Amino acid sequence: MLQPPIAAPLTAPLTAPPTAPAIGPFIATPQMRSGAAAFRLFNGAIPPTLSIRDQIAVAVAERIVLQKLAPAARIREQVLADEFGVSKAPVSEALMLLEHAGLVDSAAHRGTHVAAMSAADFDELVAFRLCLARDFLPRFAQAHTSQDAGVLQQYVASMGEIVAHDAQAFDFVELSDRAILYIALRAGNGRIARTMSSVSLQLLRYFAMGVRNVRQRRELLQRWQATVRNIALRKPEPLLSHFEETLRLRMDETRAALQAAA
Amino acid sequence: MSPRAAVMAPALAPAPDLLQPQGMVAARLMMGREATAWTLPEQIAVALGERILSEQVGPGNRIGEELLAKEFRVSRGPIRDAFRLLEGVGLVTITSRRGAIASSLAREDLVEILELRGGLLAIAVAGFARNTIAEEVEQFRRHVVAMDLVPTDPRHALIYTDALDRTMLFVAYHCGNTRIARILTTLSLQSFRYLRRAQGNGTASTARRIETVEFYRDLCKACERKERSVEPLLARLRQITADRILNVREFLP
Repeated sequence: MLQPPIAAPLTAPLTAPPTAPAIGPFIATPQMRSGAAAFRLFNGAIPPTLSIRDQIAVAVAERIVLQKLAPAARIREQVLADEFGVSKAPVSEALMLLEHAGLVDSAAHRGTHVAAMSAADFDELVAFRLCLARDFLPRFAQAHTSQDAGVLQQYVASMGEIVAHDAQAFDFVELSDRAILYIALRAGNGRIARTMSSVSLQLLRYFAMGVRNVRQRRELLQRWQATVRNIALRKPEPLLSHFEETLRLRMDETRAALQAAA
Repeated sequence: MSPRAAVMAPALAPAPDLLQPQGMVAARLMMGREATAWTLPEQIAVALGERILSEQVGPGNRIGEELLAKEFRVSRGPIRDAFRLLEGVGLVTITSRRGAIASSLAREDLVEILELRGGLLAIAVAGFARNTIAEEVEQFRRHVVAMDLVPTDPRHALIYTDALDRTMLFVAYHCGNTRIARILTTLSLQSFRYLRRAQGNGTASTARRIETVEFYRDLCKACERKERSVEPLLARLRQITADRILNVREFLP
């Protein structure tokens, strides 16, 4: 049976309300960082109970996202099986799930590795994300309800509460990202929403540092506030330009970090 | 309990159906990979995927693990891995109670597929025109010619659909963004059963086919002339996608 090793990381996602379409919690919680991968693996609706495969997938995904498992590192099924006290079968199923999610690569007879990180990979992800956004943002601009507007307001209010705290830089961008995922989810095309979740999961490693500069966070917040104020106009352009600007802001910082690492 | 689906192939293979495209799953799973040898689960996934696409295993039907294990003379491990592979491309759904089933179909699902596909393809086309080199354009031209050679007879609609998707995927795999290519591959596999059901329905299909072939031919010409920006073509692509979605909404059962 599965015992302690993964009980700890799981408490965070399990506290999230399991209600399907609402994509809470809207407030930054201390567990947010460790729940970020699970949130995206399940497209904002984490089920109340998880299969063994899913629990292992969540635990490994969190390690990859937080870079406790380094990019391109070898993942040995037997080691994980021993750690979780299960046979290799659920481990290999979990890894296959993560392969579909784009976090690991496995080639036949060459074993499984954590997906590598590179500037080219980052650019590709960003281009992909932008391409999806151009589809779902106009759709949301037209189709959203007053309830949706209320949810976004809650997100933005929570962002406002933590904007000044450097220690919560990650939570801040996490809220911003979840607000975008909420928009994707409510735009009406489930496939696009799921794809967006998976892109967001892969980008987490690149964005994991959060926006370190408080002035930039305030800028981001102001953009969100303006966007939410104007959402009732049902015009796609402000949403699109907001999204592109936000992405650019976060990209610059990541690119600089990638260059510094290279 | 629903009856177990017959997934066993008959001992004597029937004569190949010339109107049914062959090797669809293999061709798509093969794209974008270096290795040419197939693992055991991959081989099983290819065989099972073909049965799902041809609806030998109907949508929503259960796929018995043991039967397949017996047929392919392997243990249940590789069968399960094959299910996971097909789950990843959306042809199989794995449920906790009923095991693996061929994923079911719903009209709104096809609309979702086509919308996403249209958006991604526009990016792929722009990237292809920007980056492509002469040898690729020559290969691309051959794809377009092959697509055009399929008779317009509605009986050949599936062959045409397959050729069209291969052309599209060629563009996708040479657009410089492998993620877009991979997603378009799975969308191609997922849309096939719908398009098979819609074939012959809808008088607009011949006209749209002519438009589509012309679009790809013009894209080819633009690439031969090394035009790096293809805005007018993208507008045409968006129109074709919108027409197709309208058509689907009207005619899909």
